[in-house]
Amino acid sequence: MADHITEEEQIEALKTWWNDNWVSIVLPILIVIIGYAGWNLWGGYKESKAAEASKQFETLMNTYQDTSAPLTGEQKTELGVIANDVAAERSGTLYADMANLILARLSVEDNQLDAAESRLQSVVDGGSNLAMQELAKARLARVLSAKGEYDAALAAVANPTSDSYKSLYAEIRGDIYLAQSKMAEANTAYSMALDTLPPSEFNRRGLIQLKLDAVSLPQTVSAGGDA
Amino acid sequence: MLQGVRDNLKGTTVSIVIIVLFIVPMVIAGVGSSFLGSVAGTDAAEVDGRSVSFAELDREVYLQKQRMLSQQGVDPSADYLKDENLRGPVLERLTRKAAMLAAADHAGMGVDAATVNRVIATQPDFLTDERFDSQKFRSVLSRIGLTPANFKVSVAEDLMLNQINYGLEASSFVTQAEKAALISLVHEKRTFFTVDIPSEGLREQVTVSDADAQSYYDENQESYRKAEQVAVEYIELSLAKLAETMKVDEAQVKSQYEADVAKFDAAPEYTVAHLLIEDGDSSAAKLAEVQAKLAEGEDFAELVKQYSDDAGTRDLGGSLGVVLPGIYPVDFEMAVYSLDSGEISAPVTSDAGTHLIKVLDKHVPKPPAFADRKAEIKANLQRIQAEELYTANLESLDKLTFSAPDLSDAAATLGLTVAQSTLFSRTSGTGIAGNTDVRNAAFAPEVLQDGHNSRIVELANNRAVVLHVKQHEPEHIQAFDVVKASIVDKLTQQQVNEMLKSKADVFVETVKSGEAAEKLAESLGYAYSSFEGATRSDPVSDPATRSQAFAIAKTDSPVDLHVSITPTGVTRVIGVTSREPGKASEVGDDMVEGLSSQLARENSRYEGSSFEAGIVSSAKIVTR
Repeated sequence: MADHITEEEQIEALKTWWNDNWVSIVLPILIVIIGYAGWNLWGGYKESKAAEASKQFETLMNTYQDTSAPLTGEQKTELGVIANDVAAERSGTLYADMANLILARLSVEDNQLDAAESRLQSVVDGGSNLAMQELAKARLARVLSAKGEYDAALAAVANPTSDSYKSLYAEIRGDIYLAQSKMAEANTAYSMALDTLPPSEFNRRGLIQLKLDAVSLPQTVSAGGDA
Repeated sequence: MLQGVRDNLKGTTVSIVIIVLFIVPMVIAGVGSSFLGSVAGTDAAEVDGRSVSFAELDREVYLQKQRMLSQQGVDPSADYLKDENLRGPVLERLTRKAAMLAAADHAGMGVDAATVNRVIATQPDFLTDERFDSQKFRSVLSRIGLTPANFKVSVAEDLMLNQINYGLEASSFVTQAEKAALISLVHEKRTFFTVDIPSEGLREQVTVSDADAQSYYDENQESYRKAEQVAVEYIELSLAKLAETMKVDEAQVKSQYEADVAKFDAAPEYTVAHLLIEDGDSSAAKLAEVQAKLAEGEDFAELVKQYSDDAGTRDLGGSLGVVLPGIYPVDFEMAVYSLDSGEISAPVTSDAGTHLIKVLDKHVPKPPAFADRKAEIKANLQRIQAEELYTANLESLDKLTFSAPDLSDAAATLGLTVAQSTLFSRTSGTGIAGNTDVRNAAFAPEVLQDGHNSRIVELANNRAVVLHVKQHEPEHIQAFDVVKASIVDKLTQQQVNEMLKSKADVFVETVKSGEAAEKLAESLGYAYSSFEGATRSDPVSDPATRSQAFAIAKTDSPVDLHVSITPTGVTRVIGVTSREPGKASEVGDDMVEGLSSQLARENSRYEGSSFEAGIVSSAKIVTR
């Protein structure tokens, strides 16, 4: 049918069509452009936030570089100040979680077990991922045990959600039972820690075996050399 | 309206507009290179939205291979170095890393560009004269197949992972209670005794009947399976043996000896000592004093001790050892060369001051006597002559043994003897069969099954072997008669062990009922030893016994007893009489701090790998 109309008529038809439909053409395009720009801005914002947090964490790292050396008094103070800032200003990030863990350590070293507990509890509750929460839980249980709150400690490491922490949790349970002189329970827990230890963790095996040997039960001597 | 759009779509302008509107943003934003990658099939794995490309995987496999090859004693053709065997573990490592990075990303981590640049600019690999060299940077990267942009990304990733490691390490702690528990465990002291049950005379009391041995054999036939074995006859061509037969006349040896003597370096060797007087106000007076004393016949070494300013040699009598040409100043060296053994030089000046040099020993090396060199020269000449013949014989050996029914003709023609090997398997043998290439040649199908002579097997030190299979024993279960003696021995030992065990049990029960272990052991003639307050690491008894002693359970009786068999086969009763947990006050603060910082490190390492495992287990990983 388009073959029968002249060029002028064609242009006219196009104009009419455009006047009727321009909104439904332009609007989606606008939405897409705005959305895209917004997404980019948001991404950029997130990136710059992350970079800022990272820089702050790097200054923290610089105050205490050799982590195998004990902390000096000066380092403790500086580390405490920066870690407090990171924990407060970067909440919801792994940086904040790690800052909280560091603050917990500082408290443990000053024997402020309550303060350590609350730092660890905050990571258990609000850690940025499950693996971090479960790690904090393991440390929380050890602090609770040091406070003598054995039941709460046992409850914290009763059962990890993921298998990755199974052996570590069992070993900590063994330590808690041992602290209560419950040899049979400690023996069961350490045995489970050995059974669930991944093969790649041969470094840990010796230590757990040592603990297990110390709580061996009559008739169940477990060390090698038995024929 | 839709109809209208569709009609208009026929116009090319409109379609171009639409393409531009939809495609261009995707291209600009690089929208999901991972999406495109998965469509195009260039991704080896996708982990929580991050991709591991095949290119990356190939590069890592290549780098891993180079690392492994750079270790010593690696056979480049080994199976575990093949790409297809490296791919799996490398991909696994890359996906784990990707999972960690994705988790870090989601949890608000990210490294700023300035930090990345700073790290790159200080890497020793990229420095020239301690400054960053961008030329070097690019060339190093291109060698491992990376662009600067890629490399920056990977540095940023490593920094992020490093931050996580740091966070876990720096926050690791050991509570006071844990320190105490650790010390009490590691430094525990136990007092224990051992009693060995003697086995002398027990074997004679045991008899094992043929029927017993037969029934044991019937039940355990599998363990008497013997691998396929062959014995070969072989002829060996050896350059050393060939050389022995070469004739060399005395005149040749003599002329070679004379040629060697002509080249001999007969420069004398001087062992010297010196006395140094540094330049200063009183140096001339000091020198005069020393010279006067030397003239009076005082001992040079004594004077050195008293006067020399060379602190390094003063107490060694001034000894400088043997003079090597070019080490000392020319004047010094020339002065030495003009002296004889025991003489002292006139003063020699150098930058260090004034020296008096004494030659302790002048040794003029003499060329070795003909009698001493004769044998070696002769052997050398023989070897040189034999080399040509060896190569020629090697060729004839190949021709003579190829398609010959056995080795006798070749041996006769070349004046060699046919030797016999003992039986050997594919994996081990002795004598000539200790060599892998020889075993492989013997078990090659054309040699083993078709009965041909092998091709030449060249061995180290210019030896070559051709072999022929003489005897072939297929894999089989050894006959009862062959293994009977070892079965009887085994069953006898079993019964002896049972007797020892029951003796040990009786001993344990008697001690439990209140008898003193030492007295009882003495009356029975058992060897008794006791160890007072030993720790796990004290070198008492043997390690296995010690570790047993520390694993014996606590009971209500005053002695905790256990029967074990030591690695050397001795039946041994171990009794623990007291346990004393380690105390911090006894081991000292340094030890306590050392142990607990060791534990803190180990804890964070272990927690770190559990953390990583946790991240990986909750990541969505798709591999192709």
